[in-house]
Amino acid sequence: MRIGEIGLQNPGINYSSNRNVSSDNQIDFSSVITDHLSKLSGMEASAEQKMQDFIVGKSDNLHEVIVAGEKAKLALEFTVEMRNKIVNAYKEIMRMPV
Amino acid sequence: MFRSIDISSSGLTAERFRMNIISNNIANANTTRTENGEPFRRKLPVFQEREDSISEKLRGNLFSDVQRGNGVRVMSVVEDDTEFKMIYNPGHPDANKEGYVKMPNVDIVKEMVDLISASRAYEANLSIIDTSKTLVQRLLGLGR
Repeated sequence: MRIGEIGLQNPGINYSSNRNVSSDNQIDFSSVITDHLSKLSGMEASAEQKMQDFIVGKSDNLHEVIVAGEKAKLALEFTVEMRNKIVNAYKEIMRMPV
Repeated sequence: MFRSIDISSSGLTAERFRMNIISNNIANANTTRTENGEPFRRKLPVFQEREDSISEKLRGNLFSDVQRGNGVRVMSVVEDDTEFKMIYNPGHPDANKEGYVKMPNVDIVKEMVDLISASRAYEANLSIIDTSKTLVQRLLGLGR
């Protein structure tokens, strides 16, 4: 795997919607990250919205609220893990003696 | 990853809807007069499997031969067409000439059994969500 190319064979979240493809068919890593973060914030916003709807009384589906909250929590944990891995990889590279 | 959670959540919605209808049936088990003049008719929910939305189809699932499933949705609520029960009660204000009253076609025992089935289905969907969440968290623990 060339550094700079990310092969997403079977993405759990479908990234193909707004991905920046640079000239020689490599996928821009920063756009993947921003895409992922925007999806994450979208999930948190929808969980918040569902909770508000339930409190106001517009919907009486309590399980929707709980499930949306759990999904947002899982997505956040995934993002934190991903950040840890990226930071560790960066540190590992920086540790290489010149 | 979240797909099974979404599917089970749709199952929870459907079973909760079914429980609402069952409780409505039981509460109206002795209603001899409704808006249209007839006694209360037992209602039944009709469930249907959810299809892929148009946007998902366009995104590439159009020719996929793997049907992954999308959960359940409530299609409609139909009324049970069985006959009303005729109970002999000449003192009732709704009795006809021979003294018979038309009672709703709700059998409380059957409704209670349906209630048990709906609540077990609800719990089964809950356990799927719980299992999915546990698996995802263990996966995260693996990567740590």
